[in-house]
Amino acid sequence: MNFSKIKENALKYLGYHHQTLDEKLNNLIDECIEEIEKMSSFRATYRKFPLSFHPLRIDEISLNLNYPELNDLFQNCHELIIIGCTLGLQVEKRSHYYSHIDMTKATIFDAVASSFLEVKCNEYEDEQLIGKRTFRFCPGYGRVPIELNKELAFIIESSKKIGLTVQESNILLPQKSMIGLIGLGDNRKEKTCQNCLHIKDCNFRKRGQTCYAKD
Amino acid sequence: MLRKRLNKDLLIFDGGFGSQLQELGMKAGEIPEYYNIEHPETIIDIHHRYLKAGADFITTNTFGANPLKLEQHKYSYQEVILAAIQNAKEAKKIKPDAYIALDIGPIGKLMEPMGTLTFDEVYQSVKQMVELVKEDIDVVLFETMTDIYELKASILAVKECSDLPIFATMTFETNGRSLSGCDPLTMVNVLEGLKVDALGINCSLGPNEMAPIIESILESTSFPVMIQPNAGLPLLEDGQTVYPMKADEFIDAIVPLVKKGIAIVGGCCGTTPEFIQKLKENCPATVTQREVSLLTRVSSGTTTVEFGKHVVVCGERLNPTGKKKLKVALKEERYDELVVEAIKQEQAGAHVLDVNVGLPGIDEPKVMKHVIKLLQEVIQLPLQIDSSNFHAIEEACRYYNGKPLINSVNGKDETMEAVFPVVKKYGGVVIGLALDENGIPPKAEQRFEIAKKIINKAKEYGIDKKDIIIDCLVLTASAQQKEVMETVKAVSMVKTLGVHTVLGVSNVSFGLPNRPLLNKTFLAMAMSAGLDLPIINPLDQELMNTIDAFNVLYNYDRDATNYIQKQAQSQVVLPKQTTSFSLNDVVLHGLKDEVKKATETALKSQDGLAIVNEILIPALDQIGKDYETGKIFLPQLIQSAEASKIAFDVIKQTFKTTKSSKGPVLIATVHGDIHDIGKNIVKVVLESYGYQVIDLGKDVPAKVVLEAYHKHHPKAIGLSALMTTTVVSMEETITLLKQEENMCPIFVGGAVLTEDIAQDIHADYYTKDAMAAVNLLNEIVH
Repeated sequence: MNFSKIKENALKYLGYHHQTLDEKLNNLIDECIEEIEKMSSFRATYRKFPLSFHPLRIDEISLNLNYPELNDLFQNCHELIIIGCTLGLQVEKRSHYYSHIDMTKATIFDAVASSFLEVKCNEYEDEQLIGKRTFRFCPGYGRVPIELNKELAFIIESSKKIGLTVQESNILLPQKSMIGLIGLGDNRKEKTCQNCLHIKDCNFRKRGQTCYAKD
Repeated sequence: MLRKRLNKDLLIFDGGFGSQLQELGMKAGEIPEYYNIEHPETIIDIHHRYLKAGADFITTNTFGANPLKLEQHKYSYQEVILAAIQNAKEAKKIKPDAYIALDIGPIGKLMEPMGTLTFDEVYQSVKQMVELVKEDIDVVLFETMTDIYELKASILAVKECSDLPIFATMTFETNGRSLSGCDPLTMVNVLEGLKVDALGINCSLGPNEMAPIIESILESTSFPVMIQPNAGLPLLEDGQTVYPMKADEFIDAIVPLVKKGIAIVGGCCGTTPEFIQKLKENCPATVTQREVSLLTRVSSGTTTVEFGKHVVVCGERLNPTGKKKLKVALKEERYDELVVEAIKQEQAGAHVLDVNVGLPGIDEPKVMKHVIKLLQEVIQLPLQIDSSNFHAIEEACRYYNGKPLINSVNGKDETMEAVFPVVKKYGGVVIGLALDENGIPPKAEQRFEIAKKIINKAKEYGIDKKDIIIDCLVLTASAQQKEVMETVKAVSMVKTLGVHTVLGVSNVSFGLPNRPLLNKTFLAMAMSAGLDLPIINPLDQELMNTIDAFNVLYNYDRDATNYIQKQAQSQVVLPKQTTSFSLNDVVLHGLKDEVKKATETALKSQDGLAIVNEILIPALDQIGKDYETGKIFLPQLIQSAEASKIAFDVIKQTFKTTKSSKGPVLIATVHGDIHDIGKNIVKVVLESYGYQVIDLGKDVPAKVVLEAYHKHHPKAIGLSALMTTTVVSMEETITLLKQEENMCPIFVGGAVLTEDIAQDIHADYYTKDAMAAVNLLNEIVH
C-alpha cells in the first residue's frame, strides 16, 4: 500500500495547502490510515466487453454509452471494463461513530477513507489490467448521468459479489465505493476539468490543484 | 411431513442455478427470473436435472423476484413468481415427493440506518411474495443473506402470514463475517430466537473455506444446519468468474463436514447436477446426532455476548430516572446525547447497554423504537430493552437488530402473560424480577420461590430457562439493612436452578455517604455468590476494576491476561498536564481536552457573557478569517469549533435564563440522501458560534422538515444534498416549506450545489461551506 499517496490525497481533500500541519493532526491522519487499513475489507469486481461505435454501446448487454465524454474517451478503444469496488460497511459504521463523538476525527477519517479507496482501486487496476488503458471514468461527471450506475451495478452483480449497492437516488452504498468504466486499447489517462460543474468555483483549482491525480 | 424429517433424514438440495442458465445460453445482463416466463422449458429442464441427480427439493427460480427489485420491470413480481411456481410444479411431476422451496435472496439495497431501505419495506416485500404462493410451496428458503436485520424482517413476514417452514442461510466472507459484519454465532443466536426450521451458510466460499464456520455453527446450535457451498472459492479471470473445484474434490471436502451433523446439504454457485448426484451417492442417509450445550446469549447485529464465561457488565446510564440532563434531552428530542452516552459506556468496557426512555408524557413505544434504531447504528453491543410498558417492549423487540435482553417480567401472572409471548415470538433473554403481587418478599427463600414460578411459567410458553435471568433485587442498606444479605443469599439459591442472575448494584448504597465504597464491596459479595450480570455505571472505574479483579480470582480471566493488560495501561497514564494556555489560545489551537478547565479558570475572573463576547467570538472570528484566507485548513477549523462548543456549554450552565443560544436553526440532509458529513461539519461550526442547532439527521422526508418547523419555530433552515439526484428532493422540500406563510430563510449546501442551482430550486441562500453558513446566519438571524 502506498501510504504516502493516501496521506497526500487525504490532505488535499481536506483542503491542505502548505499550512502548518501540527503533530496532533499529523498523528490523527496516521491513526485513521491505520484504522482504515485494519477495518476495511476492500472488494472489487469487473467484467470486460467488446465495444461498438456510432453510437457507442456494448451490444452484448444492450448498454447505451452514447455520451459526449465517453465517445471522446473511448474512441480508440476496442474493449471496455466495467469495474466496481468498495471498502465495505465497517468503515462506514466507524465514520458514523466518530461523527457522534469527534467531528475533527470524523472529517479526517472520511477524507482518508476516500483516499484509501482511490489508491486501493488504482492498485487493483494495475494488478488486473495489463496493456494500454484509459483512466477510470465514473458516471455522474460531465454529461454522463449518474443513473447509469444502476445498470452498471446490475451487470457486474456488484451487490451479490462485493456488497456494493445502488440506492434509489443512485447513491452508492457503502459510501466509500466506486463504479467506473475503463477503456482498453488506448493510453489516455489525462483527466480534465472541462465539463465539471464546479469549474468556475473550484477550491482545488484556486489552490492550483485538481481533485484527481495527475500523472 | 418436512418438519418431522429435519435433523433425522439427510436432505439433499439442488445446486447452482445461474451457472446452469449460463450454460443453456443466458447472457450477462439478462434477468434470470425472466426465464420463468420467456423460457419455461429451460427452467423445467434445470429442475429435472437436479431431481434426477437426487435432489429432494426444487428451488424456484425467484432469487431476485422481489417487488422492490422488479418495480418498473418488464414483468411484475407476481407474473415472475407465479410462472416460477408453475415451472416447479411441472418439474415435480417426475418426482412427486419433492419439496418446492420458494427461493428469496437479499433485496439488494442497504437497510436503514446505513441505507434507506426500511424494516417495514423488507417485511412488506417478503410478505407479498409469500402470500402469493403460500398454498403451493413446502418451505421458504432465504439464502445468500448478508444482513441479519433484513433476514429478521423477512422471517417475521413469513411467520405472520403462514405456518410454512423457513430455512435461512447467510453468506460469510473468508474473514468469517458477513458483508454487514455479522458473525456465525450471532446468526445462530438471532435465528434460533426467531425459531427458523433450519439455519446455515451458503455461497461466497467453497467447502474448504467454509469448514471452520460450519464447525462453529454445529457446535453452537441444536437446530438443523443447512449448507450450500460454492464449487470452491470463486476466482476472477479476465473479468469472468470461475469456480475451481471439480465434483470429486467438492465431495471429498464436504462429506466429512456432512458427517459431523449437517441436516441439509446442496450446492451453490458453480455446482452442477453432477455435484448433487455425487453428494447423494456419498453422503449418509441420516443425520449424525450431536450433543450441544445450550448457553445464554444475547446479540446485537454483529456481536454476541455469552453468559457464564465472565461477568457481563450492563451499562445503566441510558435511563432518565434521576438524571436531569437525560430527561431534558429526551423531552427535547435531542437523542444524540443518548448516543454519546452509549458510546462512552461502550468505550468504558460495558458488554450490554440498558435502554430506558420512560418519562411521563412521552410516547414510549415510539421513542423507544426510534432510540433503538439510532443506537444500533453506532453501538456494537447488545441492548437491554428496559420498560414497564408492554407495547414499548414489543416495538423495541420487533425493530431491534439482534437478540435482546428484555427488562423485565416479574412473578405477577399478568406481566408474564403480556411479555412472554413477545419473548417467544422475537427471541430474547428475559429478566425475571423476584417480586409479585405482594411486592418484594423479605426472605431469600420467598424470592427463590418466585424465581421458580417465573421459570415454570416461561416453560409453558416454550421459553427455555437459558433465556431467563433472575433479578434477586437489591434493597438499600440505609433503609433495609438486614435484608441486604437476603439478596446475596437469594443469588446463590437461584443459581441452583441453573439460571443466571442480575442485580442493579448501586441501589444498595442509596442514602449513605461514600456510595462507591459500598457499591464495590456489595458487588464483590454478590459476584462471589454467583451474580452474572451486574447493572452498573461502567464509567465508575472502581467498580470496573473490582470486576476485573473478580474475573482473575474466579479463574474467568485465564492467566489474568485481560487484567494485566488493563492494569499495565492504567499505570502508564500520566497525570494530565496542565498548560498555561489562555482560553483564547485553547480555542485557536482546538485543544479540546483542555478547554473545559480553561473555561472554568476564565469564569473565576470574568462573567460568562463577557467571556463569550471578549474571548470566544473574537477567537472564532480569527479562526474563520484564517480558514477563509487559507491560513488554516478544514480539520483545524473543526477542532477549534469543537473546543469552542465545549466552552459555550460550560458557560451556558452559569446563565440564569435558558435562553442563551442563538437560533434555533434546523438542519437536515434531504430525503434519499445519506451523506451527512458536510451537514455535521456545518452543525458543529454553527454550535461553536453559540447557535442552537436542531439536527434532523439524514434521509429526512420533506414533511418531517415541515413538522419540525412547526414544532421548533426555527430562525433558519439549512438543507444539504450531495447528489444531483437528491437535489430534486431538496427542491421538493423547499416547495413544501414555502407553502407556509412567513417561512424562515432557507439556505442550502452540498457538493453538487452552486449559486445557480440554489436559485433554480428557490432556496433563499447558497452557502458553499460551514463558514459561509456562519457568516450568513450572523447576518440574517437576530
